[in-house]
Amino acid sequence: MTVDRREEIVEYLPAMRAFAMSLTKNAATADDIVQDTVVKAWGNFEQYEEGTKLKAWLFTILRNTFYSYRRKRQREVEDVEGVWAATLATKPAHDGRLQLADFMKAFHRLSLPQREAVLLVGALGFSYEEAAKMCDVPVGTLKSRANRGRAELAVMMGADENDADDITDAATRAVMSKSAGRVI
Amino acid sequence: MAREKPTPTSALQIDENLRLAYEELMSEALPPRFEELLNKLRSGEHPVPDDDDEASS
Repeated sequence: MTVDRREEIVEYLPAMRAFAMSLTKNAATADDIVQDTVVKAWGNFEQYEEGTKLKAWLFTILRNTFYSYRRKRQREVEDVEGVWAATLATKPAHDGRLQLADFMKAFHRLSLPQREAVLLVGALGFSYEEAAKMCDVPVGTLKSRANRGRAELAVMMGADENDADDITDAATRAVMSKSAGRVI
Repeated sequence: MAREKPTPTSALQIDENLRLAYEELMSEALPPRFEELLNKLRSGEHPVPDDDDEASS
C-alpha cells in the first residue's frame, strides 16, 4: 500500500499555525495563511525535494504566504491579546503561564524580522543557515537579527543593557551553552 | 558564568521561553476548518488559494 507522503503535512499543522500566529498577531488571519499554505504544499508536493527537510519547505511556503498577505492587506488587524488569550482561557492561569504571557507580549513588540529570526532559530530549532535560506538573507544578517531580538527581549523582560550586550557576546554564549542543563 | 538576577536574561533562557510559549500555542486544538480542508484535499478537491506562487522550494 503506497503511503501518501502529503499526509506528513498534517503533523506540522500545529507548529505552522503557531508560527503564523506569532507573525500575524491575529489568529483568524493566521488560520487563513496556514490554510493557503496547506493547499499550496498539497497541490505542489512534486516540488518538494526528497531528502531535504519537509519542515523547512513547509515553513518557507508559510513565510512567503504570510508576506503575500501582508503586501495585499495594508491594514492588519492586530490582536496580540487574542492570540495569547485563547490559550489562557482554556488552561488554568498560574504564575508561570502569566509570566509566559508577559514574555509573549514583549516578543510581539519586536520588529517583524527579529520576531521571525528568533522564532525560527530559538523556538523552531532551525540552524542559522537553514533560517537564513528560508528568509533569503545572508547568514550573518539572520544571526544579527536573532541576537538583537534576544537582546531586546532581555531588556524588556527586566535585564539591564549590560546583560543584553552579553547575549551578543559569542564567548558568553559558548560558556552558557555548556551549562544548558541549568534549571531556568 | 553565574547569574544572580532572578529574571531570566540569557539567550538560552529566552529561547527556552520561546519554546514554552510556542508549545502553548501548538497545544491548541486545530479548528474544524482544517479537518474539512484536509478531507477535501484527500478527495481530490483543490481549493484555490489567494496566491499560487509561493510553493517553490
